[in-house]
Amino acid sequence: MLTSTVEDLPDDVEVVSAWLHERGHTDGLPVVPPTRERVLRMLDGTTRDPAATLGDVPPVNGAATVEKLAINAVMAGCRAEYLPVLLTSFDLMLRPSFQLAGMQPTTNPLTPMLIVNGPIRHRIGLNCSTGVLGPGWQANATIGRAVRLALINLGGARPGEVDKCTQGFVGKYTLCAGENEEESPWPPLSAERGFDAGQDVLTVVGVNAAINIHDSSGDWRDVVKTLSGSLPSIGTPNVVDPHATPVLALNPMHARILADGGFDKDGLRKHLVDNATLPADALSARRKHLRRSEGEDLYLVDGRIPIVNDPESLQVLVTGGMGGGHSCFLPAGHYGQALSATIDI
Amino acid sequence: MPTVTLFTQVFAGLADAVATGAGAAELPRVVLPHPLNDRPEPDIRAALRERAGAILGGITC
Repeated sequence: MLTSTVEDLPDDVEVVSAWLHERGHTDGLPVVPPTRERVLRMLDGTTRDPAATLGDVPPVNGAATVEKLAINAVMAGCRAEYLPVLLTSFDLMLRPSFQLAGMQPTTNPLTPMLIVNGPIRHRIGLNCSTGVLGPGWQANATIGRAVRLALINLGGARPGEVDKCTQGFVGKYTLCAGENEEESPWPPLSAERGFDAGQDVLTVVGVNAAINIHDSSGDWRDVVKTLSGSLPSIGTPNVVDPHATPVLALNPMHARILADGGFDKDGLRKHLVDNATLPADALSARRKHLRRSEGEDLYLVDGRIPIVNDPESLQVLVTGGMGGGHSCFLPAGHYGQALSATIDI
Repeated sequence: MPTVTLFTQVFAGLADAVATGAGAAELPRVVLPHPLNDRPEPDIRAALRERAGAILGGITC
């Protein structure tokens, strides 16, 4: 039984999109009309009760019921088999430690990044390889979009009104990636986070726009040198927020070169925290004040500022294709934690 | 606990949404000029002094 209000509108993309857009219920792009039939088909993707609530979405605290999330999934263009990923993302984001209440209205260009591990990647056609963070794959594009639509429609995060993001960034439309477990030399992110390899696991982490890191060398010394020089950036939030959980998304080629050089993920994180540092006097007075309020002295390495205070905070992911030496770093800083859970139907 | 919320002008809509979402639509609110964080301390004190009545009124209503 569905309980949402039904409007008397034709099943027409242009009419429904315009009607919803006028009321602030879209991301600016056309949406699939969420008819009763489409919502019911979407709900076939889960065994959860449509009336069950996952919690209230801050800051306006609309109830994230399974039905409401299914409606946003329809609008985003999701297939029914994607719905469990969307539901799990809200299971995680509504935990207090994710600090969604701080993320939704912030001026900082933050958005939830969804990282998927396990066989579900193949079952739903989620890209993990070439172009993983770009266009072209329905699962990646629409799951992340459904998250954003639900954050707007249930949490009230309308850009400019409640979402006060100063400039925004395109990742706020959608940001959902699979890990390229098959071409990674290391255990998957989910295994590092306490799950069995082979389980379907979602990790959600708040991030900023990606910084491209290019080095086509086949020598691990070159690659680690380029990473160490690229991750520290004086204006990134994680420089002043020691609790941040930024993401280093390595392409499989870089990962293999580093593994051949003797690095595992723990060793790489430790090396980067020790070597990807900034001079303490590079901080502006204002940012020094911010960092000091977080206990500046506790987080210096040999008098220099590390990208994070604890190697465990750096989330290392292997994703993308083998076609070139491009990896990326997604800075972070919203006082929330990266969280993971199994994706259950 | 008596509470009054202070915010700058550009965050007025957000403050209304958060207060309403928290079930406290009547929460006393005082609007300050924007921007404030890059202003000299005397300017900030002056802006607050001008609104002292509203602030005190908010926490004693």
